[in-house]
Amino acid sequence: MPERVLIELDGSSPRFRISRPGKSVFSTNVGDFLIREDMPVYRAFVNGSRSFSSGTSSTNVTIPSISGPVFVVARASDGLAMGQQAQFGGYYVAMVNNTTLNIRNEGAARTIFYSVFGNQLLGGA
Amino acid sequence: MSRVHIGEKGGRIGAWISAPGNDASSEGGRMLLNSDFDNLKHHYSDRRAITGGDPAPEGFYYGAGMVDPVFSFPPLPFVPLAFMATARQITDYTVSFPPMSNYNPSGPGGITFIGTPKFTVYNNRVVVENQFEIWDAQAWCYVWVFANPIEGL
Repeated sequence: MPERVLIELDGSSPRFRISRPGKSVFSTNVGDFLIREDMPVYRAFVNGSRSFSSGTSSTNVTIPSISGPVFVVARASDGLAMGQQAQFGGYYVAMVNNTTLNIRNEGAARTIFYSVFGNQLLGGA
Repeated sequence: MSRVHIGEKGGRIGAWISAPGNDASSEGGRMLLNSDFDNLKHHYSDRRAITGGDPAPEGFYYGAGMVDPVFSFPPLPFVPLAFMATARQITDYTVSFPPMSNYNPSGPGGITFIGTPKFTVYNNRVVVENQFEIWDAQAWCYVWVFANPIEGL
């Protein structure tokens, strides 16, 4: 079984690595790692859901201020992908700035589940 | 109850950090870090101005035919996971998802792709297909690349 966790001080450089199952923590392939100390991790720092009635409406969600652009992943209760046009009209989109996530829904009533990903340490994109 | 567990758990070797009130040594609790699953590992991110061509009589700008923006990054031994978004202005950080529109895609203020928004991911670059209608002379395209292989996640 390969070693999967590495915590060490390499000279003056601290190293913290966790490899994928079946992969060695000493691999040189960055794809073999779940965590590496030199790769900042994006986290879902805001998760939630909003329910919309049929028609056109939007809602704002306050998010923590973060220094750079973040990205949004969402799904809907009716299976519609974000931005996809429903067969009988309607869609939903999201816009985000540094303190607000705005979700807009058109068409059918649906609940939209969202996650906002970012990393405070990275700054602007 | 411990919030950090490194080593063997249930026949697996890994590391777990639990959320407050959860035990990292147990199964099923909420985890902040869980080595049973992958994490989004940032490799590269950047933005480019995307510029429309001559305005059409209807008032919008065509981007089709313009040079496709290329986002180059240090090569990886696999094709990575990537995300793209667009924004009308750099100043307000208002970024739209998906990268096809803001709230008014068919009127002033919107960005509309003529076809399906498309970007191609290679192991060392992302190429954005510059097919859009744009109601401003210039907008912004954002790309994030993560050191996670698309296959085998």
